[in-house]
Order: sequence, then C-alpha cells, then structure tokens
Amino acid sequence: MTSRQQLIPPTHQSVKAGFVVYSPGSEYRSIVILEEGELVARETTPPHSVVFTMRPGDLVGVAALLEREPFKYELSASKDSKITLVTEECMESELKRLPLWLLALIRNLSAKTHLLKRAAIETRVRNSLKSLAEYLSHKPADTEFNLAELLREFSFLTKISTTAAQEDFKSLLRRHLIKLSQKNGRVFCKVVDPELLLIFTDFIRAQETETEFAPYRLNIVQKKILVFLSAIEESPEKTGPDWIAYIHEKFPDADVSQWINLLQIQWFVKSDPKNPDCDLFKINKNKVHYFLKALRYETNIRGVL
Amino acid sequence: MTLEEGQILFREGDPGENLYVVRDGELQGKSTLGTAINTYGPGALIGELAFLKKEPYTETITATEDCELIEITPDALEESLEQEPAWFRSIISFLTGRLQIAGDNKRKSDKIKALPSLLYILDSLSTRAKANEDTYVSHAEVIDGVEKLFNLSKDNIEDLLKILEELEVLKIQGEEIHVKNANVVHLLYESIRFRARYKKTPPQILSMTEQMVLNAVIKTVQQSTEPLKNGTFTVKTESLLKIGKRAMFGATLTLRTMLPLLERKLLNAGIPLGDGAVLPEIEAIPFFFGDFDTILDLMELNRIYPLLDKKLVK
Repeated sequence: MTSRQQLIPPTHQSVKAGFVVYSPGSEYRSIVILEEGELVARETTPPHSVVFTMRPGDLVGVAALLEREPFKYELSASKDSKITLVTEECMESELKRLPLWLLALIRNLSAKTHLLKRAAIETRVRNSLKSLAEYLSHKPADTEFNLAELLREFSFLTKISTTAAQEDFKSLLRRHLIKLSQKNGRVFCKVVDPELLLIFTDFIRAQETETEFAPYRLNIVQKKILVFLSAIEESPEKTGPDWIAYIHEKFPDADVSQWINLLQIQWFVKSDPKNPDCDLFKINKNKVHYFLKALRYETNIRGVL
Repeated sequence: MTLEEGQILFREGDPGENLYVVRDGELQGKSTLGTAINTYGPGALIGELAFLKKEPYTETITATEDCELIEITPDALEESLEQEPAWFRSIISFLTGRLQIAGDNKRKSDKIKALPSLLYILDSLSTRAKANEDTYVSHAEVIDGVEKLFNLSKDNIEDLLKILEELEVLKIQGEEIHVKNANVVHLLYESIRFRARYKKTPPQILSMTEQMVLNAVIKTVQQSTEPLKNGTFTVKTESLLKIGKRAMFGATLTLRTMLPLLERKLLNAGIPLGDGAVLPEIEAIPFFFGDFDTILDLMELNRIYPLLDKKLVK
C-alpha cells in the first residue's frame, strides 16, 4: 500500500434548512465546504445577527483546523444543503501525503498571515529610544511638560506602551538630554536642547546601519578645520579651487581630497543651489554647527558619562 | 540551483514565476515599500505569493553567502495538486487569499497609524516656519522625522503626504512642502489626538447647523465693507440675517441656533446675553463679532476631517 492510498476521505452530508452544522461549543473541528444550498454564520449572542452567508464553493474553518484559531460563530443551513466536512483526521492524512515543499508552503502561508495580523496591531517602531528622542526634539527647550502627558502623547503616536517608554526616558535622563523635576507630586520633563536630541537620533541611526556617525569619523585635520570654519562669522563665497587654496594655506595637510570630503559631509554648499551653473561655494553654517555640537556633547550622545 | 554570494535571485517587480526553498546558505530580501530587511535561511520559502498568484515579486532577493536552492515551478504545483482531492485546491486558494488580505490590511493599518506621527512632525515644522513668517518646510526633514518617529518607509510617507495634498492641506514642491495653513495642521492633529484619547467627536468638529451659521458669518464678513480690526470682524445682525437666508439652505438663523457658537466664544454678541436662560430675539442684538481667522481655520478643519478617514481606508 503506498502513502497515496492512505487518505481518510472527507464526509459528505445532506442537511435540511435549520440544521446546525457547527457550534462554537463543539469539540470537533473541521473545514466545511458548501457544495449546494446556503449556510449562514450567526453571532452566538442575541440578536444572533448574521455575520456572513456562504454560497456553493465557499469554505470555512481552515484557520480553526490548521491554526487552532477559534471559530466563534454558529454555522447553520438556511436552505437544504449539501456539505463536505474535512475533519482533523482527514486533513492530517492529506498533509502526510504532500510533498515536503507543499507542506512547507501551507505552513508558511498560515504563519505569515498570523505574523501580519499580529504586526497590524503592534507598533512599527523597532528602536523606541530613537523614536522618543525624535518626538522630544520637536518640543521647545526649557519648557516644563507633565511627564504623564508626554508619555500619553508619545504612546498615541507610536503605539509603544508607556511602561516601555519610561525606560527610554530614563536613558535620555542618564545622558542629560532631558531634565526631570517634581512638583506637587507630579513629574515634569524639560528638553535641554532639541537639536542635541536630533543629533542623538542620527547617532542611533548610524549605529543601526553599522556605520560610524559622521562627526565621530573626523580626523585631526578635519576637526581643526571645523573649529576654524565655525569661527568665521560672515561666510565668504569662493570657487572650489579658491577654497582649496584658502584651506591649504591655513592647514598645509589639507589637500584636494580633503575638499571632496568636506563637500561630502556638507560643510560647504553651493551659494545658489538652484542654479546648476553656480561654481561658488559658501560655508554651511548649520552643518558646521551640527558637527561641532555633536563633538562637544559626544559623551552625552554616546551615553558614557 | 546555486547562487554565489552577492548574486540576485530576482528583483522587486520581476514577474512572479517560481517558488524557491532555501536548502543551504542565506539570502536577504529588501523592498522599497518596507524598512525591514528579511533574511531567508535553510528551510525558508521565497516568493510564495508571487508563485501562487502569478503576481510580481515584492522584494529583491540577494544571496548574502553562497546558496543552494530548490526551484519549484508552477507546473510542479499543478502536478501535485492534480494528485490531491478537489477540495485541497480550495484550501490553498483560501490560504493565499487570506495572506493577501492580511498584507493589504497591514499596509492600510500602517498608514492609518502613521498619520498622527506625520501630522505631529508637520505641525512642529510648520509652526517653526510660521514663526519665521515662512510657509515652507523641508520635504526631507518631514520624511526623516516620520521615519525616525514611526519607522514608516519613505514610499508610505509619500503616499500619506499625497493624501494631505489631495485634501489641499499642503502642496509638495520638490524639495519643499508648502503648508497652506499651519493652524489647520495643528487643529487636525489635536482633533485626531482627542478622538483617540476620549473616543468621542473632538470639540473642534462642528455640527451641520453650526457650520451653516459660520458659513453665513463668513459670507457676511466677505461682503461687508467694514475692515477687520486686528483680525476681529464685526457683522451687523441685519446683514447676517439677510445672507443667512440664502446661505443656510432654508434653516432659520436664530439666537438658539447660534448659542453653541456663542458659548464657545467663536461668536460674540454685541450686547450681554445674561446666563442664556432667556434669550432675546436675534433682531435685538445689533451686531456680532469674533476672530475671523479662527472661524476660517475651524471651517477648513471641518471640511478636511470627514474626508481624511475616507481617503485613508480607500
């Protein structure tokens, strides 16, 4: 006898209108395939509303049988019907006959559906600390916010539980990126510097992608250039070669390749970015300021205080 | 079949054909729609929906090490199914359909859940821009902010931005986003937040009657020659009644219909109304006044709010 001959056949039944095909209290699980007639699934509690109607060719109970998901409705015939019942034994015998890849395919379809359903109700956020830092970076500095309110709003935005978010508040507190105080039994939170929180989010993102955070990749010459550029109050506009010569004059170690690096890290921008023919560059004060701040507060950002 | 490290099995968008089972090695899948990278090790299946539904592959699969794969063709599936009872095909089709529905629902739910984060970032950036008398915010900053706050992919954020653009909340202009009215973005965010917290209609959402009254007020102000004083309008009751007859589609403008707006100080009567227990006739009030921008913003919010949910679930 080959394995192909071991299938336990499904049961075929003819049922009269009103016959209860399945009730949630039943111990037996089976897939119900409607061959002829009509079945209705009803709520088990009054007013026993119809949840869906089955037409010939429709089937129910797959998730109940394959994934043990509860089928919570009562299924009854609304017309005289012919049904096929695939019982647990029948399905088991069928699955045993399948080639392994097809069995794996069925399991995969079930498992992926289950994961997607779960993911649809969970938060998408993978790094809650980065998310919290981003959220707080949009709050004004030195304003006291009720911590409970902040937690509630953050949880509303990200679907992260307030308990999990509390740990991240502690992490930011340890880094001195926020301050907490207590008044009349309430805890208040103050953002020290929103820009610092934003830098922190970029630092986390660099860690996630396993790249070194740009401000912490600078060599000695670049750090000297950074300090020098930050001290220039009015940014002059010069062509690339003029800037190279200018920087080389101040820092003999800096050459053309250094200029390319500086352009890559955006310390210089075109004077007129909308004009493709523009060959003049100026110092990007915001970026220089960003790098300087990231370096100045490196211990806070890295959390090694 | 075998793949060497770095080789691509298929690209996102390629027509779906075969199913692959990993026998040995590791592959990674990346989609432009998601931020996550999927890893496939021994025993994993790749491309099942594309295989079953004959739809394009949804991610680009690259071998991260030398791999050995089993290739299953649609013919092999057909051959197997022919040997199974007829009902078995229905079960495969049911499971496939259910997975696809779960995927669609997840994508919809991601967008719906991400909307508050997008509005929060837009509110923050547009309020900052407004303080500098600007109405433009950086497109990249919005994308970056939402990605960091909610971990939504760029494409999905762009889809949400397009929905807001269709509702005329903003206009995407290349590297910049023109926020038409920062106050409306703020009101929209606060309304959605209120609804989520208290599970009821936000106070900023007006009844049809209230909207009709305010519509009549706006029309009266627009037709009046009297200039605004520090943003405050004044409308004569006589003019308001005259315009109200046309603007309120048959409904009568009375002090009773205006009362909710008067109580919320969106409109103010020209004379004191006492505790509101006994209301005078509307003709007894010489004029009404209020902040014109507040009313315009509120009406704009009430135009957008009901449309937003519909657009999101579409």
